[in-house]
Amino acid sequence: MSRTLFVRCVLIVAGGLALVVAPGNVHAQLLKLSGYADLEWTAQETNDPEDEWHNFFDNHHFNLIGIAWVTDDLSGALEVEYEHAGEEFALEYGYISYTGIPYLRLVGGKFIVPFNRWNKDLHPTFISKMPGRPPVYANVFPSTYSDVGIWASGGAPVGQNGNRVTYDLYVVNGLKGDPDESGFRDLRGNDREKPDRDDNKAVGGRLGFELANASFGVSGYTGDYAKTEDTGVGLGISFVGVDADYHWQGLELRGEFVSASQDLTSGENNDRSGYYLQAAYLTEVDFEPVIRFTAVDFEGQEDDAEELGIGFNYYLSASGTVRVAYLFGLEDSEFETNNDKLMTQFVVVF
Amino acid sequence: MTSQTRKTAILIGLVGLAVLLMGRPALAQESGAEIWGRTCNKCHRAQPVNKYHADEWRAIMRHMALNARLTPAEEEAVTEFLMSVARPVADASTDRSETVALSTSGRLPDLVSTDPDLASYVIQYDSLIVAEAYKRQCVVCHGAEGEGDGPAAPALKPRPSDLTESELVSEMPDAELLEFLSKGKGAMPGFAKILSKQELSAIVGVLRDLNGVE
Repeated sequence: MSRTLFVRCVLIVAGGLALVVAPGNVHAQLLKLSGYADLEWTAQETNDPEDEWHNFFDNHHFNLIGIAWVTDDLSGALEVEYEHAGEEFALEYGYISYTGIPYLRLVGGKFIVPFNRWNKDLHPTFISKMPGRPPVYANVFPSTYSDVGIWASGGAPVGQNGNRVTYDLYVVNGLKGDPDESGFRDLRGNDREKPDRDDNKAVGGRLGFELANASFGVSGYTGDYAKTEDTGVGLGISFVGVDADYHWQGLELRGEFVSASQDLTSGENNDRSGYYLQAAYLTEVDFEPVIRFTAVDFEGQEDDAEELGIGFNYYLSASGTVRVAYLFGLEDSEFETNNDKLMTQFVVVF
Repeated sequence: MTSQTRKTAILIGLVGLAVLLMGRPALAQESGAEIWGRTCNKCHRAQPVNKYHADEWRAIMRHMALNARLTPAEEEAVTEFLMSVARPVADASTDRSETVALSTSGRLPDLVSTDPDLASYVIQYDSLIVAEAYKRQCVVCHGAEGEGDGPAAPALKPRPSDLTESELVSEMPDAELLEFLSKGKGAMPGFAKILSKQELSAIVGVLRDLNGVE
């Protein structure tokens, strides 16, 4: 995204909010600026025999979040991504939310697609308990994926024990890309000249159940990402996901599974699936050991991936965290995901 | 599974979801503090409740209620709780002699007539009602037995005090303890806007019991 486009996006969102607020200026004081930032140092194994280990600093995120409480039923929020020390500018989300209908929150604009938990809720570095994205969310689901459209969500208690059911339903422009060349993460690319290249909308949703100490959910997404040049037939991509977590005192167990199927011009499908399992235990001295195992199965291909991450977090305060992890690539292949990494991260949320 | 089959399965699932939600169940009767402890700290460590001003919490809650898929009643209860224990603005009145009725959901009826002099306030309470107030506002952090192990405790930094061994509780006179509960200090928020003076003074008695001080 060019800086000009970025500035235009910010001005459009800010202008929209200002127009709503301006008549009475009643809640202009309820604009809250927040955000998070991190500094990473990574030492990474490479496939280059001349330079087996490469190390670098990265100011991976300095993201600003703005929240506006406009009226009792209307609010807005945006997150400006300023990533990799300024190499990437983007609007991660920018939406208007209407809450005037019981059990229904309507969101219009750009939002992070609520597929499973990691993509929308757990990817920020101040939340994710281990540095680095689980490979399943780089190679099976193109996280972090946000898109433009309409999103309906809500939740309702079940019984008197804190049990709840939650739902998300959304319609968005959908992923898009070249059927023969795009990697999964490249499918997120937004084309400003023609935002929905295939003209068909993608639909998806998540149904979640929350118990006192645990929750689980099922997710789905389906839509066209391109169409064939000769016949104009839509090429589809779909995802099915399952997520679950369990909390007891300082213990957190979490796992997510994703299966993806992508139509190709050859008439075949590019299928793949993967999962991660993670355990963390927060001790009373704010030290938190973490272990995470991720596996990705590229069906019919040799370059599967398995990664075992072992690390710890130390919470300096409620807002500052140091994370250290060593990520072992367990598959013996030259696929970059299978290279070992040592990652350290200092994260601040403000 | 073919792509078309998957599409059909997903669409059927979404329709089923919509049907399921048409029969929504009854509301749970939890306090804002209890809902906050149960939902807000599952993804991330909790920010101190008195880190932000009331208006900031109102804006933040709009965003976070969407993320947590709270019902309107749950959002209102959590927002009222957070606004009630929020960091006071610099020019706000520090006069805590009058309870501000921001919250109705978490507040219990007055038990005795109001005495503006906190220091001389007479502790008179119904143990069941006070136990309810303690359960609704204190247990989420300090735990049912006051040992600092409530459901939200792991997400908090600093961790809530173990009231059974707290030197602050054992050494502080009643009037100072009442002032502490009213105004808060450090990570401990003040509860003057969410609990009546009668409830606060009665909770002083609960703290004495937990702390083993007669």
